[in-house]
Amino acid sequence: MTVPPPLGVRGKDETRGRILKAAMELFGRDGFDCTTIRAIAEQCDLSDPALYYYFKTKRDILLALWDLPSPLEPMRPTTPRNMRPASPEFPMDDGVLMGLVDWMLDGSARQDSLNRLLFRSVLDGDKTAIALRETKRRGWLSVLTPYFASVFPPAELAIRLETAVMLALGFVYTAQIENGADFPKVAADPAFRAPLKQLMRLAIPLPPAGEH
Amino acid sequence: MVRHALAPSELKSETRDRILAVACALFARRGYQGTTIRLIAKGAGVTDPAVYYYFPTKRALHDALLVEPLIDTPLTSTSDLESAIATMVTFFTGYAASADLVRLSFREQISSTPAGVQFRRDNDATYRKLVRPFFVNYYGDEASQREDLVTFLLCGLFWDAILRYGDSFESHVRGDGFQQNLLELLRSVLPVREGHNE
Repeated sequence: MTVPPPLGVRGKDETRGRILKAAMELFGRDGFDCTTIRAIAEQCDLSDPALYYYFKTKRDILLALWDLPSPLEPMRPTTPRNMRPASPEFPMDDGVLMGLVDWMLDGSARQDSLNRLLFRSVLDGDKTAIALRETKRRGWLSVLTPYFASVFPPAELAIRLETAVMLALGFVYTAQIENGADFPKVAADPAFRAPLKQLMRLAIPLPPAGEH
Repeated sequence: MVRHALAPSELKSETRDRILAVACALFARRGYQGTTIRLIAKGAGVTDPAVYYYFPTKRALHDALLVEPLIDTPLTSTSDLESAIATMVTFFTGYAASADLVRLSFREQISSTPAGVQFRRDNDATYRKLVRPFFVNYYGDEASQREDLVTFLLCGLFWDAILRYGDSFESHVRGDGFQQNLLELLRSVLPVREGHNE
């Protein structure tokens, strides 16, 4: 049964959401590599052309699920919402560093179930999942790099970035394992975030204001 | 945690060990769902009933793999920063040597199964018990924060390496580039304390 794309923004959003939900289910069941556009269309009762109206490729669906900018490469540097873009005139201070921690935690909480699915697929050797995970990792680095470059000399930059990212990953994965499906709720609590922020301050010592 | 009380005869069984080794490799590659008792029996060169003799269910066999923590060598108490860092690098690399168990346990952990959660807690506790004397001795008031920082950093690096390097995880971790980077990361979060001779 073919349902034409409904008119109006709300109808469009609704169909788009239905496609993403169906894709999620199939990716979880069959893996990324083995799921076809056709199977996704069938799952949500759309014809192939109707689905193509929303997404041209399976990769587009994956990118939409992860809120990643398209095209996949090169990664477009984005700025976390409510944060001033990095610049040499405004070197990263404590407020910015804490904002970046919040940004990493927000993303992890929002994409908790997707991330777990992604990790399992990576362990299964799913090539799409491996590429996607690498893109996400580089995405974090590309957002953090300009801020870190505003305070650390080039010789120190790589190790400082990696310290920040690995610390955040270790903290997040540990909390994901411990809290299971409750992780997104737990991660929204400022009391949960405070220890990571303290550790980040210890790991990434910022020069005193006015010195750079 | 629940540990099966094993009769001495079972503990010593060479067949049981072989079944566990084959199961570990299969679960790591194929996941829990993709592994059958039949495959394990075939790999170990025994019959299906022989596997059931040692393990009543596939789940029991799987979870038996997660009972033992990955490391158990104690860190000789040291107040010397460089030798503590060297020991942590050895720990990290030692974990990586059990690549199959690492993949299998990460799969369980990221799904937050009871066995996976318990495995992480056991290993975390074992690791912390081994390194704590150094942190207390060297960093005093700052000890517990430094210990947390290093623990999360190493966990992040370890899990990231599993996801990034797939089948070549172990050889990557043993490689010079990775080892050098690991040393640099540890030095960046473990500053030299004044008043301590290096």
